[in-house]
Amino acid sequence: MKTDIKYQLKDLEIISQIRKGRTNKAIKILYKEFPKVKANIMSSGGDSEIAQEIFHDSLILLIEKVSDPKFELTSKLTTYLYGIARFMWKNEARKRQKNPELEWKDTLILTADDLDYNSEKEVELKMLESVLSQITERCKKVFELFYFKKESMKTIAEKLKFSSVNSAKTQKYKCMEKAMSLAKDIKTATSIN
Amino acid sequence: MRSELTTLEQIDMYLSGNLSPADHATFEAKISADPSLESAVNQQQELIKAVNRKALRAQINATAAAGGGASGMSNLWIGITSVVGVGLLTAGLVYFNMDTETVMDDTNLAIEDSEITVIDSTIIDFVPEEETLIHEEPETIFSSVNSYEKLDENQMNNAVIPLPQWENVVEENATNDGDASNEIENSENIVDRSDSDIIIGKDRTRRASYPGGHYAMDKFIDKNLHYPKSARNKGIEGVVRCEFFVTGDGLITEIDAKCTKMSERDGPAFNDVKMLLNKKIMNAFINNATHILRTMPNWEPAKNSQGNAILSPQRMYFNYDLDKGCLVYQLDDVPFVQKDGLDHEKERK
Repeated sequence: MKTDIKYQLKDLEIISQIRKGRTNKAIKILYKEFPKVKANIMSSGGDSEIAQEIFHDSLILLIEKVSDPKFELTSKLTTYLYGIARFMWKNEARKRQKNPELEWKDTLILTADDLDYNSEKEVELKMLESVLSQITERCKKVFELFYFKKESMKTIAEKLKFSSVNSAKTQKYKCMEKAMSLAKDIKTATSIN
Repeated sequence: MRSELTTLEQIDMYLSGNLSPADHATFEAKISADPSLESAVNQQQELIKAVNRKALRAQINATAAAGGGASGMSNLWIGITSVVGVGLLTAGLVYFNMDTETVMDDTNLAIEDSEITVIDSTIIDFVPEEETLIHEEPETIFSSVNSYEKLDENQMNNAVIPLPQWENVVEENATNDGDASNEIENSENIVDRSDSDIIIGKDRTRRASYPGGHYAMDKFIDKNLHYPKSARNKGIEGVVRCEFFVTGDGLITEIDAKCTKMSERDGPAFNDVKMLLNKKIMNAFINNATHILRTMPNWEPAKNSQGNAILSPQRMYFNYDLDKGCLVYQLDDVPFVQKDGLDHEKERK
């Protein structure tokens, strides 16, 4: 019982950290679970690279889920993480036309509906990520500071030495427009192919 | 600002929830009316998601590169050093504790040993530990012993090594009445054999003892008791029970010796017929045992609570073993019915 409470407190702490935007700490704590996930994936036909990829993806998904204020934890956070990783690995294995039997310990058996997981959307998001690496450094920084670190336009303008808050704003939307157009281009290109 | 950019801003505001409720409602109506706007909103939403993901991925990759642990490189070193430090500390502590523990263990063992002797002697099964224990005791305690030692040094031939294991006696003793209290007292007597004058029991009666205590008696017996030659030649082992009284003057009187068990080496005990057939050997055992008792010096008599010397019954077992030699066990103040009609157990109470 004591350990349960301890874990609960730890989980709540992690969640609150994530919701405050201090994901770095949470990632550091949750990354300790990687060896187990890796072992599980490698025991069912994966290699270390795919294991890392899947673990990173599941970490991102977990953080996205947790940062939603409506999210309620029904199990231990690590168990939830295992569940996501298991689901991801099963998805990946299906893509490779394998259907390994997964006997993971301490895990949830999650489905796509549980996770609101849409593989098409995921592909699109990956594409968008690649798009984001093509835009200018300044745009990247503006995006990161505004959307990820949730800083105000004023501080961003100061940090990145924009002449005014308004110019920073217009710059941001210009960057966004550019990124959107790039994404469209890539989409059309892939659909033609 | 261009119109496209303003729509982007509006979408941004809408997604972040910074629009006023009224504006929020109107914007939602707009979205449902305009599919192109809806797709734009979705796209922007996903772009924002992608931005977040990218940032997260960067963080995750950073932690992965740092070794996947909970800390960066510098912290890792701190961790390692602290682990080493803690390890050394604990090692030191463990070592220290081990030292004290071993000491503790030793004392505990010593206590346990003595306890064992207590327990074992209550069963009269004289203990292997007893021998060693006796010889470990400093001789200075037994200054009175030395005189006897000098006396008997000439007779010291092959030292007889006593031996344990004696089931018959145990059974017999168990059948005796009121054994328990005596056994406890005896055991105390044996443990404190260095000081036979110790007051034992609630009645504060001193028990009769060989001058110098059990230790002295054991030495005396070791030197004087020899395996009967006839029995050794025939390869027969035996047990003799001697019951006698110690008078108020310390004299040993009315020795009643009985051979309770005979057997061949490691063989089963003789039955009555075989005992009769080997009566000569049996007598040899009995004579051997009684001879020792007769040659013993006067004992220190038992005393009652008033300090007066009293008559006390005693029982001794002589165990003759071919391999281990002879060993004598003493039970004093045995509660068998006195010839003068006194039951010492009752008298005490």
